[in-house]
Amino acid sequence: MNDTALESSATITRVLSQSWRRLTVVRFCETAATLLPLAVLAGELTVLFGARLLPSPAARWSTAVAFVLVALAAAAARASLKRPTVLEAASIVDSRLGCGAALTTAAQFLGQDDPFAALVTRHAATRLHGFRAAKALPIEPPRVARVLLLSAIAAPALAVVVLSVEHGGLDRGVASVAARAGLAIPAAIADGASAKTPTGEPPIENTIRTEEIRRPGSDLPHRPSEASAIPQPPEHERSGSGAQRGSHETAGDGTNASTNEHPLGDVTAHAGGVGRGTLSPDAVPASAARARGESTATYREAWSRAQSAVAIDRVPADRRVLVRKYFSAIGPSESQ
Amino acid sequence: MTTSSVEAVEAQAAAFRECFAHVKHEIARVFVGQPELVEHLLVCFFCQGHALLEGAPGLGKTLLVRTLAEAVSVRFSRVQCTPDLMPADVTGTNILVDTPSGGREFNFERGPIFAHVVLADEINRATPRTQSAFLEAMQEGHVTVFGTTHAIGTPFSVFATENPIEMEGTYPLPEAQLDRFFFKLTVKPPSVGELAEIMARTTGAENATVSARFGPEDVRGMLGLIRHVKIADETLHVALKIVSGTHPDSPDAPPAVKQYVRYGASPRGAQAIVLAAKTLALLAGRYHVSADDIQRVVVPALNHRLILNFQGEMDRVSRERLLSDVLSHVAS
Repeated sequence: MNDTALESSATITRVLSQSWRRLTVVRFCETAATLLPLAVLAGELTVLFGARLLPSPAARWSTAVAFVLVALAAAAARASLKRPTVLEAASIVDSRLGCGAALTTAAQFLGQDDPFAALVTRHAATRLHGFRAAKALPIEPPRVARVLLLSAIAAPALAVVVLSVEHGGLDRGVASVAARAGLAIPAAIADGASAKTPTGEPPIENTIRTEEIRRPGSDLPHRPSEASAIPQPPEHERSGSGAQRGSHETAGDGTNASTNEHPLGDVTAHAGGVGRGTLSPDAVPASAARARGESTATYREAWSRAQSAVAIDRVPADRRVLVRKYFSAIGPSESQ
Repeated sequence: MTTSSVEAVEAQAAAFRECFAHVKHEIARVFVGQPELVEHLLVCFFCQGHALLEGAPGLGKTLLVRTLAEAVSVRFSRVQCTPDLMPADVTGTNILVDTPSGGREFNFERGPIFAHVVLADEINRATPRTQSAFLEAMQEGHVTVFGTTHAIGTPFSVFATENPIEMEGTYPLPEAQLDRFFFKLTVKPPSVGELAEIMARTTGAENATVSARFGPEDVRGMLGLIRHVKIADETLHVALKIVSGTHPDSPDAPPAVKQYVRYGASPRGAQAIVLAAKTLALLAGRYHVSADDIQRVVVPALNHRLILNFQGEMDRVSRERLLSDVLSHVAS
């Protein structure tokens, strides 16, 4: 072979090699483009709605991650099993570039001691001068992949919408989704969620806070100094008007007037949950509120999660007090 | 492989293209229009195939074939087929002649089949017996008379014509003989513009003449070149699937073929497709066949090889349409 023939053969070999590798990658990406959104969707459903099967958020997140890993592994396996032969790769390149079987024929007759084979190789090398596999063989996800991707994106949004409608507010919906996912709620959203009630009534946490502090016989370690440290809510909230359904009525002088339970609907037992969405960082129980200024980030995060659990009715009514007590007990002390 | 051999092949290919273009140009000086018909006829000639030209009288079928023979400067003969034409009139026969020594012996007198280009005009008017005389010559390239085989030299192509209108007193060609034809070409009526050009050329004072720059030796040298053109297995598979798709019991057959076709194309059809596609590839400056080359020659190569069933004949189903269906089916 002369130099021209050798150069042509090298070009064809290079193009075939690049094309083959690229097609393997393309097949992986195309498969992954379909499987990954499916896995993400399944993971989202597991995280948001799999609490009955997997109560622990960590377990749900682990399952979701496992879905994604399985999808990636399946895509890799399929790309490996269905990878094209060299001649198939050549044929695909021919059809993409409109080479009219030049590369396929050259690949088949490459290295043959025949003038026609050499001419075919040279012709193909000329046609494929400047070949770039990434340009010739772009990654084009199938249409169904786009639909699945949109579904994966839309699922959390849909969950927010549904839960917002159910709980009577977007903030509550977001808080609910975050709580289901075991995520910390941004303070701004948490504030919004706790500030609202489905009926537009004033938040009930003020009365709860007062009740916790003032109720006689409470098992909360009652410290006289705590009462004086309670941040007082605005007047219109504190005085209420008696419209705070099922909450503990608070008299204007701060004495506890009632120990009624919150009458809001059914609740589902949930580890770490607190009473229905009436608590906020601004309205934490006495000991926590007292130390609001210096509370640690961990405490605030836990408190936010508790609030969101409250917001979505995950805490039985009879346990809300315990939750509040708990947070009161672990709240940063005044001395901090 | 040496560089010189590559260069020699390139030179041969260039000469082939030049010859083809020259002949086509010379034919265009005499025969007006229908460049595709002319191209297919030349492809058939350079592939050493035989063509069946179908068209109404007066469309220039005879002129076309004669001009081809003149353009490549090969021996031309014409047989006007009639019901009383005998096989010996085609192949030749032994004649008792006097020898110089005073004795007598049989000498074989060659018939018109011994030519490079043979025009069998209105072949469907000859009896089946005479038609079969063409059979051996077309397929084997030789004739046998009184037990003696006489070879016909190359190049050798039989171009038969038939008139699709006048069927009275004709003997339709049997399928076996139809299958011997490489291509079946349809000569269409000229357009008004082409008709005007024909009038200008044929009713004026000057007659167009054809100049021949290539002879039989040149043509013989080009014949082998075509067969060396490469075809990838995948491309060959396309041709084979097309042929397979013309068979009604094949999984490659489209519904129309299953409905209207009794028998599909034979392996000769596939041979014709591949050889013709190789010629087109060489003409395009390539040394390999593409799927486009295959598709361009499917209709002339296969349309006479489809045998319609009763329903197809009654519904006057077009074979071109059936082949178009096959192509679409294979492409999908």
